[in-house]
Amino acid sequence: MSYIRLFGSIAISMALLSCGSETQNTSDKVIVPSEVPADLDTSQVFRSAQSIFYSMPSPLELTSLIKKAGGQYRKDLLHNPAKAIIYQSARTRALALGVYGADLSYSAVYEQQGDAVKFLAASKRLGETIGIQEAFSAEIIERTNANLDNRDSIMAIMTEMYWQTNSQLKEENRDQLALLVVAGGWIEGLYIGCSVYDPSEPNFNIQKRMSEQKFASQQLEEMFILMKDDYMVDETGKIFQPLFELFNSLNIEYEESSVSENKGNGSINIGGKTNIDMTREQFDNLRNIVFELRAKIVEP
Amino acid sequence: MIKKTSLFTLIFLLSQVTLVTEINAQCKSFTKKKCISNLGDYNSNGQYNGAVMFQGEEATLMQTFYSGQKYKLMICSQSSIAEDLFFEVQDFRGNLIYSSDGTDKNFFEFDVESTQQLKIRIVIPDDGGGSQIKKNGCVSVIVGFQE
Repeated sequence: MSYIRLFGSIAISMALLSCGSETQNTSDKVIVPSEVPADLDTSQVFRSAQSIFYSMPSPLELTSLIKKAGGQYRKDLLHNPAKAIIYQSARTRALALGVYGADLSYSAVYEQQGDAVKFLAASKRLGETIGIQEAFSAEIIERTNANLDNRDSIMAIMTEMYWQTNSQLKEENRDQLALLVVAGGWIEGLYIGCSVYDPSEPNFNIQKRMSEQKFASQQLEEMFILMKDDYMVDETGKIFQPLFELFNSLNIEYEESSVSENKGNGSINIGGKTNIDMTREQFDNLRNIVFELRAKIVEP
Repeated sequence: MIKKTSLFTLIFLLSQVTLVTEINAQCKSFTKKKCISNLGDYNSNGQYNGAVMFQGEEATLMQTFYSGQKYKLMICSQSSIAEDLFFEVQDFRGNLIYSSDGTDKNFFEFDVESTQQLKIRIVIPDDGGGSQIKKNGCVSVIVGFQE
């Protein structure tokens, strides 16, 4: 996919050159040219735009969902921040960065600031090894330290860090690493969700949230296939395969959707039930696969 | 001669890659400065989806939305294409749920009864005038959620 993007982007660049690079300098330094010749074949550009718009699971949202479903904070589940130094390749570092990022958002969601600071340090250490600086700038670290007691501020800063990591990698055409960071974070979210579920006292809300990860699994599998020419992605895709297969085996039942407006505040509700069937046996399988996969990622 | 051609090709490709990186950086800068703050009291999901789009193009994105959360979906674009651009939200079967066509709204606030994937379609129609030039600009898809 990176070749498609590169080719499409080169087409954009050629077009810009051919029309004299009429760049616009505005106060915020956004200088994207706004016009290109009509006879330019934009099919490559179109493919480029389509390949850039893709959805990925958000560990920030997943950890919030686990808390809302009644999951308790379990510090013992989280990865040891001191182990950030053991990862030696870009692949293992990106995956581990995703894991620490999810632990960071999990501890922030549960207002465990002391733990969050440790995961922030581990993320910074790993991020720097793969060339991510903006997400862990001195300014952001200072703001984090100054707002440790303010949950909303910490959440906003965590979001900003995650956004910066994701956007920097995409900006530099390192989508493969961005995918691995997201995949690592997704597995950590699944690991936390599957671990806080106690089979002797089943919490069906958590089980439901885990089964809903079928959608995220489909999105990730698609991205792994698109980028499989990359060695790192291919290697990682192989170890994720049992998980994708498990999610693919779950059936979904859809009802026709409907739209209604809440007369109180004017907000829109999109109705229509979606039910993802997951038996107890399938959930047990899911937990085993997730535990095994997470172990491979944190102890490469 | 071959060496000269190869060198020229290499320099040309490197200059293109530099331009590509600069365009990407401009979209990121635009999104950070002009879009994310408009989420208000919604938390961004942390994902960056920004690209340059041209008149006559459309793009689609499948996105998962979870029950029990409120969402603000925002399509943020540069002024060069903002007037023409519209977006649609469709269910998994392609049934239209929302369209901003004919409005000046660039966001859609909603919640879902059940967790589901929705298709977001972004369109910049061609003006059909056979113009010699095509407008373009950065487009970013921003998703915010409230617990």
